[in-house]
Amino acid sequence: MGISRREFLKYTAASSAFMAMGVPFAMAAGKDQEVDRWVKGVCRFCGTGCGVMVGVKNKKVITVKGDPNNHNAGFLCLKGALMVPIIYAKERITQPLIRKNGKLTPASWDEAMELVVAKFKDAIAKYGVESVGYYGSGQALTEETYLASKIFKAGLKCNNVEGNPRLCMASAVGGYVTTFGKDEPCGSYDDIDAATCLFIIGSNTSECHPILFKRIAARKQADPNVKIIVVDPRRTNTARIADMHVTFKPGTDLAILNGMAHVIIQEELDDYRFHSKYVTFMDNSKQKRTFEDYVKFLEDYTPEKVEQLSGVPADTTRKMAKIFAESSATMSLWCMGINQRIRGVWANNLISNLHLLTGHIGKPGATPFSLTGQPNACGGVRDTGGLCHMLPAGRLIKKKAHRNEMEKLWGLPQDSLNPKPGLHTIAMWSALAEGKLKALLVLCTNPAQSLPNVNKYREGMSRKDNFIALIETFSDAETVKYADVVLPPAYWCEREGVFGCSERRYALVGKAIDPPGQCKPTVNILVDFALRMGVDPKLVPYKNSADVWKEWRAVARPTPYNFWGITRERLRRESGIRWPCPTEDHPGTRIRYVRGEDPNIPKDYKKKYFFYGKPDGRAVIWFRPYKGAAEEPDQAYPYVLTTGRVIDHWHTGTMTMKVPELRRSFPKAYVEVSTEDAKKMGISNGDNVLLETRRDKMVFQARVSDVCRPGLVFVPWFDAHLLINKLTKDAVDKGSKQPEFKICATKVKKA
Amino acid sequence: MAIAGLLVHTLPKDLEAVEAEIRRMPDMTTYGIHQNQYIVVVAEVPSDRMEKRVDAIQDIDGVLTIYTTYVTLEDEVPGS
Repeated sequence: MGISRREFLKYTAASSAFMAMGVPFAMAAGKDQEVDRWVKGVCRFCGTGCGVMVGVKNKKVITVKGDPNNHNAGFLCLKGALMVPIIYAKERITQPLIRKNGKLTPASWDEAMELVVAKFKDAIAKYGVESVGYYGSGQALTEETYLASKIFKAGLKCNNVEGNPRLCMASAVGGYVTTFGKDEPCGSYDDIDAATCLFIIGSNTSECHPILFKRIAARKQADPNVKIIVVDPRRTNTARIADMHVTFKPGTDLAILNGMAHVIIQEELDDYRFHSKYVTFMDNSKQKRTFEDYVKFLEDYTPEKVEQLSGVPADTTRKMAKIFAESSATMSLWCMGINQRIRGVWANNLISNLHLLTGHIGKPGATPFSLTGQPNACGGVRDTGGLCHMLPAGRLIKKKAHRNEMEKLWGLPQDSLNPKPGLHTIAMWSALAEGKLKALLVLCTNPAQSLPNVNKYREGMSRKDNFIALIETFSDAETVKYADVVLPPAYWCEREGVFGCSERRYALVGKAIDPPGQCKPTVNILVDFALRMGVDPKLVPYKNSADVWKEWRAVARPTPYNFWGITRERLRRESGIRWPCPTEDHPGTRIRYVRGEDPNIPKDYKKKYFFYGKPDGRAVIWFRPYKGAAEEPDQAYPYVLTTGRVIDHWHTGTMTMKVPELRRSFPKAYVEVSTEDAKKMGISNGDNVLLETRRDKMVFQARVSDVCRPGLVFVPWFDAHLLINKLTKDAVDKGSKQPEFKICATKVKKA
Repeated sequence: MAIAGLLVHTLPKDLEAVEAEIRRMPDMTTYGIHQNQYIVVVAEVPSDRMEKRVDAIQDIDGVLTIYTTYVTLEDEVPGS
């Protein structure tokens, strides 16, 4: 019996849904004739890192479906499933461009590269290596970031190596490193399936990590006893499945988290045996303190005092703390609402405090777990050390022993690496604005839209006395307006390389098709740049990203990141493996810091837990006091402006706005106003509303709803034509240097 | 015309009503209720209406969210 092609495609669509549920589905007829081949990859968007299968026919990508063998079990969100049109967008840059008389004009690779190198060499000759830099991305491949960082730090002795992960997860890094001594989560996505309490704070998981939200919702439905607490000033879609949605005055979450710790101790719900054995108590001046000191510190955070600060009823704090502590396994999940704050590191610490206090750590379902915004911020930038203060695999520039170890691994003379950390992101773009930074190489990111208080930095990019070389896929990215040279890279599945997602999972993005025109893999562009700059060829002996991966494995091997067992061949076979993974027969690691789970801990280690990132093997409970936002609302600017994502767009919309279905779903940014505030100001749905902060002002159409609490307005940041980052503030966390995108003061009035 | 595989994640108490409502939509084919929380749906929708049709399902009471497991836009990829 034959079936029509249309029927066949329908069966294929249905079978993918059944496969996602793990249910067998018998096809009525036909075979897998739809595509010539399927190539395994990873979604290009958020940090969930969903596995995808890219369908190729006649050397073109025609479809994308979920990989049933990866953690997403075949599921994709709508934007993940609609990536195909982006590959073939008319805005693809397919040849190098040089700005001449103000216009970007086509050039040869040789001409463009010679110009880039001449400008970099000239800047270094006149102003020293500190006048140049590299600004990368959590969307670049791991191999690309490792290589760029190596070229600048080892080849040019320049530590001005940064990337956009500074804007999204630097506070999570700071939190993990100060609490546990090592970056990256202790647990994994598997914990969602075993948790009996999910504590979600500062994360709109439903819209920003839809496939994880699915897993959370499925967990709740599988066991109605599972409790979900959502702490967010907005009543987002995530809050729809929550047992408790706790709204609060923006910027007071540190007080709330300390208040929960206070209740846990007062109700004797803390795990004294655990924290007395595995925890060090430490105050803000890094002095060791006692548990009793901690109890005293928390006296300032009784639920009643917290209510005064945050607006959260005292009984709600008590109830929340009790659910958190009394559950058999609590998992916390957080994202930008916690990280993009001037005390983001402290907020991260305070979440981990609750886990260390209650012993909800290192058991299935019990873990603190930060979600990440980009597909390769973790694996690409955090792990390879693609930031100005870092070296690969958790090593630090300021530590001589770490520099010396890297010098040995990279074949450099001892003490030859530059010991001075470079400029962090905001300092780097400020230096460009001030004329101190003369030449910058930017890879796979769109800072002219994504930086906070962006007018200031766009002015800097416009200066005539600096030079910006951009490796960029799309001609309509805002930053292209400011580039002196644009180099066209192979995009996503047009070259091979590794992405590392939020759960320490490294997975291969396979090459499915050739890149168009003159586009080249970024690894080859970077090697070309290095050689033309006069970097020792022995430092960059790579033909492709697989060569870089081989070296990166060796560089990480002596550290607790050890993923020596994640070979290229294995990545091609398997749908992602979680590090540490020391040998080729190791299955990867679900839970860190626990004997029997974490291969870094000897099997005969005398204790069950070992926080080996700390010299005494103990994690830290920090005394972090309440600290509000950098710019609180006042009489002149009485509202709080917060920004974020919508489900159908990702980051600056450079990719998702090219998908007709997604563009039509959210064609432009809007301002979300609470029903109560709208009534007060006479604002109706669709009215023009003026937002004015101390940086700039802009008009948006209103969406009136009960999502925002009164006093708060929300604007998504995907829209280049309504660029909300002109209004946001660029104050940074003093530890992580991450900006406070989430809170600034604004005026709101009907326009 | 796009074809998409969708899993409609639904509150258990509303499953049958949601499934019945989707079945009434001429451009949707349902493939049953599964695991007491999912409805398998295949959408055959002109691509310029896809998001509106998905939104129409999202707006049904009891629908938590919709997951896309497959989309083919074969007709729209040049040269395929």
